[in-house]
Amino acid sequence: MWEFWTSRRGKMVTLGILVLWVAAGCVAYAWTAFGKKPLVILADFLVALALMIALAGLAMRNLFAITRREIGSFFLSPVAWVVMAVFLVAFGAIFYQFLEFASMGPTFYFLSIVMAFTVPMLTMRQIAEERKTGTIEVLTTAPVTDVELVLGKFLGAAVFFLFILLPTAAYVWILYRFSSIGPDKWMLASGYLGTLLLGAFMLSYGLFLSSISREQIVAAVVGSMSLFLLWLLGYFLPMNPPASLTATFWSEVQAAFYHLGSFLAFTRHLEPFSRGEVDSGEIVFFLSFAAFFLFLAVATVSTRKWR
Amino acid sequence: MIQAKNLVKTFGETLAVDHASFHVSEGQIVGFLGPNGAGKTTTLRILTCFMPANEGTATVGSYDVHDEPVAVRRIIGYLPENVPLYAEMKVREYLAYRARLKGIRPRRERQRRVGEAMGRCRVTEVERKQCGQLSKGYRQRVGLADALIHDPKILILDEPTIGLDPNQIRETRRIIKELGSKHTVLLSTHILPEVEMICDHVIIIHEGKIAATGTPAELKQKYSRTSDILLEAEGPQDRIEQTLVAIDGVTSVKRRMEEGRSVFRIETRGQADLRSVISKRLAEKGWPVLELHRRTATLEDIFVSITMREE
Repeated sequence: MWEFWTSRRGKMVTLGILVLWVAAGCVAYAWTAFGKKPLVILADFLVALALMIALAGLAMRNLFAITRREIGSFFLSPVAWVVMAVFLVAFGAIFYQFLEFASMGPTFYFLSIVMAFTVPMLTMRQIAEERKTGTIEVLTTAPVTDVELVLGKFLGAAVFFLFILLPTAAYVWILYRFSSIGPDKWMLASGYLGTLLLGAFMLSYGLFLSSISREQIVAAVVGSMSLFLLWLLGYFLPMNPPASLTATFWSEVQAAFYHLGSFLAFTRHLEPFSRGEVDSGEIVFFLSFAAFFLFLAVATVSTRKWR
Repeated sequence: MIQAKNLVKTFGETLAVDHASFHVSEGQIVGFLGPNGAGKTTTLRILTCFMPANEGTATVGSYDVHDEPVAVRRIIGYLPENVPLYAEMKVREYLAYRARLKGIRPRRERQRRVGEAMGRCRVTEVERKQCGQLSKGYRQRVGLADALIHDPKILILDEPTIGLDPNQIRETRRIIKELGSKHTVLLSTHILPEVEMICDHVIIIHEGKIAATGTPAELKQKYSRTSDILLEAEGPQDRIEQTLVAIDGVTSVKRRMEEGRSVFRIETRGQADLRSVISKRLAEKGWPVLELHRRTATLEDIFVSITMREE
């Protein structure tokens, strides 16, 4: 796995990605600090992402081969189409519920619960099925690194996720066409940005679960249930930490748990996006969790000690 | 070309490969023999970098399987035991994908290689079928086409002829023999006549240990302790039998009826060829010899004697 990254070309590419990443971060930070222009940040984010993917593709020549196969298999998978249908119907229903606000902020917030159930169903088969049918053997005995394998699959799922998200542009059009004041375009942009970030987080989490499961259904159920619990945690946890007049040991423990809970509850990190605020800290939260799970997935694939 | 030193692989409590050491020289076709569960597949999986060994080292080409797995994978073509394929992909599409993974660029070259491999393995007629709908024979051949699509230096084939019909088996053997002229081939099998037909060298593995290595001729020399002679002669059968028993080197003589003729099965000690002595003796007595045939141990006998010995 480190073969490429320790080579000269690998180091150059790593450096390039880092520089780009930092640059993108700086630009994003500047915008949040000065202008609060989520649309620009969304565009900047997408450009940086595309550049990173292009660079990664240059560095890992097999990456896109795997991505392409993944996308192809999504389009041939009935589960993926069912997921798409459920996702879009749920999106429409939520949109209708909050229509009176003429805004998609709340829609994005409640979309996260739909995603908790649908995204793990997209990723569940990605590695578990390869293992079950044995195709992992031909895949990992081809000259493919584990990083290429995991990233390629992740990108494939991400592209399909974007494809699922595409028809929701119709709702944006509806808001522009029928709302007298017009929607808050910053809120729209930041909402989509948040959804993309949450998607990256959930897709990588699902991919990791798929890499450790023998049965794809286990990966889906564990993924959905854990994400749903986190969603509930975010919903029911009070907005403010428990107040106590005197700091006792017990109140400190309570406060610690509260902070841990509100850190893990991803809706807390999503909320600013649905209000039209872009916080670079929240971007970092989602991306670092995505990177963390991708890393775990790579580690799981590398230590293939199953029979 | 392939060098394995003291490979050990355990699965929990069971020892699948037990200090296996062997080597395969360039340009050889080597048969990897062993009963089911002897550790053939596991050894091949270690060589193809699918699984790490618990102990020991292996080099393929000049690369270590542990340190440079991607370099190893680049120079090998591997056909796994049950030929896993993506069920939803079409044959041509699958092979093009595999060619791309194996670094064949540009696209035109890829298409050429795919066409060539399909022609060679006779799967062109199913190129538009989904892999999941293929019969066992076609699956096997699509797997073989995948293994040789990038013209690898080393081919590692895990039971390449299993599940094929006799014609396909012959065809596959022909392909393997043809490949053997330019490539190094390591193939596992438990079909013994196949090994005698195509392999230059044999490695017999039993309970995870390398039990014997050598050319088929060497193994026969080494492991056959007795040989049989079959004789059919005209004359008084009882007296013929007495004459045969009296010959030095004969350990036993059995008479049995075969299709209405009586045939003697003479077991002899060691490698000595007693055919000339027998025919002389019978000629002296005036009994014409109708058939005299020496049967040396086949690879099958050797395989059985090696793999049954320890029980």
